[in-house]
Amino acid sequence: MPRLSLYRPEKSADYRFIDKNIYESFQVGGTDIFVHKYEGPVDPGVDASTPSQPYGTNDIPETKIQDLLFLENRDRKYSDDVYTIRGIYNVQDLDFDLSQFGMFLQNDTIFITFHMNSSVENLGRKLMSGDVLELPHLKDDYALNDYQVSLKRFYVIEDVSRPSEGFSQTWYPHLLRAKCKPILDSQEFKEIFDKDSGEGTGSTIRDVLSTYEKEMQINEAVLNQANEDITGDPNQPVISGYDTKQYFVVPTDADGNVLTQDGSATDVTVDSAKIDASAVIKTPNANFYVGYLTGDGAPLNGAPYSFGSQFPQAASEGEYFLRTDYFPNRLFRYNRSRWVKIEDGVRVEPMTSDNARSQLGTFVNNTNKNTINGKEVEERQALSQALKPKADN
Amino acid sequence: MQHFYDGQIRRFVTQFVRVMSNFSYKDSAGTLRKIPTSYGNLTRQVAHIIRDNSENKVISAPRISCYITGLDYARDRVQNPTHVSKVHLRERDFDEATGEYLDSQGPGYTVERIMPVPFNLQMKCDVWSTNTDQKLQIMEQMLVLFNPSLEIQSTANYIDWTSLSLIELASVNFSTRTIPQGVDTEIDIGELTFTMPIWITPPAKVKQLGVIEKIVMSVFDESGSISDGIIDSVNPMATVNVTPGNFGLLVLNNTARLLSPGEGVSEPTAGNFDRTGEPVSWFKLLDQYPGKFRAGLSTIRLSKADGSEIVATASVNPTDDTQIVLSFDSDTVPQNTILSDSTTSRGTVDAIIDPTTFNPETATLTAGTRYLLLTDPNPNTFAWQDELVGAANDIITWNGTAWEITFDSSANEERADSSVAQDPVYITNTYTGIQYRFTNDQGAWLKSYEGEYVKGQWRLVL
Repeated sequence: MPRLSLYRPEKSADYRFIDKNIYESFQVGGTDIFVHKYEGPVDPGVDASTPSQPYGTNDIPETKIQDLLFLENRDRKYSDDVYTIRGIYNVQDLDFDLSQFGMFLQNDTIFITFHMNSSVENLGRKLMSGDVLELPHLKDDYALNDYQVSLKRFYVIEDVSRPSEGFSQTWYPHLLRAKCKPILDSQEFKEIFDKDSGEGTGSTIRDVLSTYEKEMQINEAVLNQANEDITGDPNQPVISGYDTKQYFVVPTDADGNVLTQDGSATDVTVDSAKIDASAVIKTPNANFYVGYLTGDGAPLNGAPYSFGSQFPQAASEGEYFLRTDYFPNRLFRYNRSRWVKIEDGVRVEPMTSDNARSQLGTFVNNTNKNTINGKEVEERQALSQALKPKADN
Repeated sequence: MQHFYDGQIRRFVTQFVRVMSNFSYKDSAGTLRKIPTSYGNLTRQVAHIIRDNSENKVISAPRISCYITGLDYARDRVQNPTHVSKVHLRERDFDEATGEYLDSQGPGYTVERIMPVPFNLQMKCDVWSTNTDQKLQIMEQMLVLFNPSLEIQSTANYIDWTSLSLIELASVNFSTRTIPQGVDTEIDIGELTFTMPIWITPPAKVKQLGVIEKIVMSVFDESGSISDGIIDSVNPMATVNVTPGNFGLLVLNNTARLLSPGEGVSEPTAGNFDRTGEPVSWFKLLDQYPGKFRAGLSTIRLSKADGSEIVATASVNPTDDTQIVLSFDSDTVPQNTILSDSTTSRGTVDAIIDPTTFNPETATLTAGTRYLLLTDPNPNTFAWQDELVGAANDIITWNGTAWEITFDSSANEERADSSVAQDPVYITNTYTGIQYRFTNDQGAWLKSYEGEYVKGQWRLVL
């Protein structure tokens, strides 16, 4: 008679008997858990691949590492199929933590136990870090919004191990224990959040589940306030410097006397577009309200002006002209013999604006293209990539 | 103490959040995603509202949050706390109807600003990212801005001397994580600490634009005595008049016409004026003050020698815009001088006559009839030979039996002496309604207020 032993070098009938009972207990007492199966990182393609971010296929794509320098998988692919397996975990109370970056983080790490063999059979592999779990029994039907769907609850698996309680008398494991944390609307889970929400309106899971849209609205409101504080109009982008257009400049001569139009002037006609022939006070020849970043290139007292890249052939005294080929644009005034510089338009949208025209801004917000030697070249290039030698072999 | 609050620090925080906004990251598919930026110290209630009062809501990452970590008095920037700076400004006129500024001058202001209080505002910017590459993308965009600092403004107000500040990057804590990570993955936050030198100011004083009303000067001469003519003078030492366009004015027959600068006017015959220039449209002047001229309400004021003014309401002649029709305020027109004789006391004459060509026919003349003589009576040409009285510029009255001289211009010794200032004599010709004036320095009757007014002697009140 052989020695009595529950352990066998191979998984025996005892193991299978116990495993079936455990599986059955999960079917009876567990809850459905939807698994969004991780399928490996997005492949950068041949052209974009680098030694540290290589291109290539693995036999097991989940085992590929996207960035071999920082050792992270940022752009993850998830299966379009959703797998349903049963799991058991202890529901726990949540604590909301207003963390230092100003948003709640939930102290919501849960440990879910799965039946190993059935989950592997269902998924085609063992659960792994990066798989996303959806817990349908935690749907919130009463969230404060007007969506037509309940808010789902997503977790991402951080660690998977074999729990000690999952070992049977046969010494073989039957369970998997997944350490799960709430998912984030981040680059890693983009494919999950790009899926349809089920609302029937074409909205995505991101639209109904993520705080991103509301955070961007808050950000936009603050930006509008910043605009209004500077320009008085929430839709008018912030520009640097100081506004003097509402001030009146009394035109004076060198002695401080008020400059008036000479009644004998013959070069001012009623059909002049630049100067109103009925005007009596001359246009100012200097701005009184000067200071740091006060030049806007606009003529003083709201006088009419024209602009272009070369001065007009015929001009009347006191006529303003904005040279747009200067950077910054320069405002001139004609004094019968020459065009006199009045000011430069130094008020521009600041650096962090999309249309920034500051010096630094023109280096960053630059979509110019130049044709050099018959070839179109983008003006903005990373300094490390500009004029790199080409392979000449 | 009265309450005041201008949201000065709030505006700087707003601009700080703006500076930290509009950053983005790119994923491997080339999709750009903007990173939301907000104030970091939000309340629990708002945090719950943002997540729709549901623990299922998923927070987005990466994100940037900014918040105040300190506000210290900047003793190194202290300046004279009692210093008051004055700024004088003239606004352009504003058309309320169109909501646009005009090219004409509006009200003038003087703004007094007291020395603001220097502070250093410390701000922190937390960058929460979910992977290292993402963090480096964000950092590379941010860190090039502060070389050596980034200027910001809280307002674009020209007179707000506290609006300008700058953001200095004081320190960078690349990650709050402990390396290597333990059993739990901490949130990865990059912390950037900034300093902003700011000024906080009490309210300013906004006053009407100040003009020079008083000149303080030495009133003593070389001997230490008070100089004559400085404080005992009745008249100002100088008057400065400014006339837009240097226009003159020709007032005639209750109308006013503009005279171009340098234009001459002559009166070849009584009451007929010739001008050397072309008629000038009043709109050349009025268009400098769009919407200000109100027909029948705006007034033209004519200066008199005694400093007072004759006032007339004005309206542009609808058929001839070179003329303004005047309606004189009778209270401002000079009062006639009452002249007395044996039959009557009044300030009028019945007619102005040339005694060499006119015979009043005394046989049918009513007693009390008065005439102003244009010329000396000439016995050879005198129309009524038997009643020879008076001389040029005299006023004579028929008393029923003989002529009396009511106003003897030549017999008045004081009037003949032009060095003695005398009140002018005003009379009105009831035949034409025109008022005349006699002054000793001119020695003749001239129209009282009609005629030419050079620049500085008339004004238009809109």
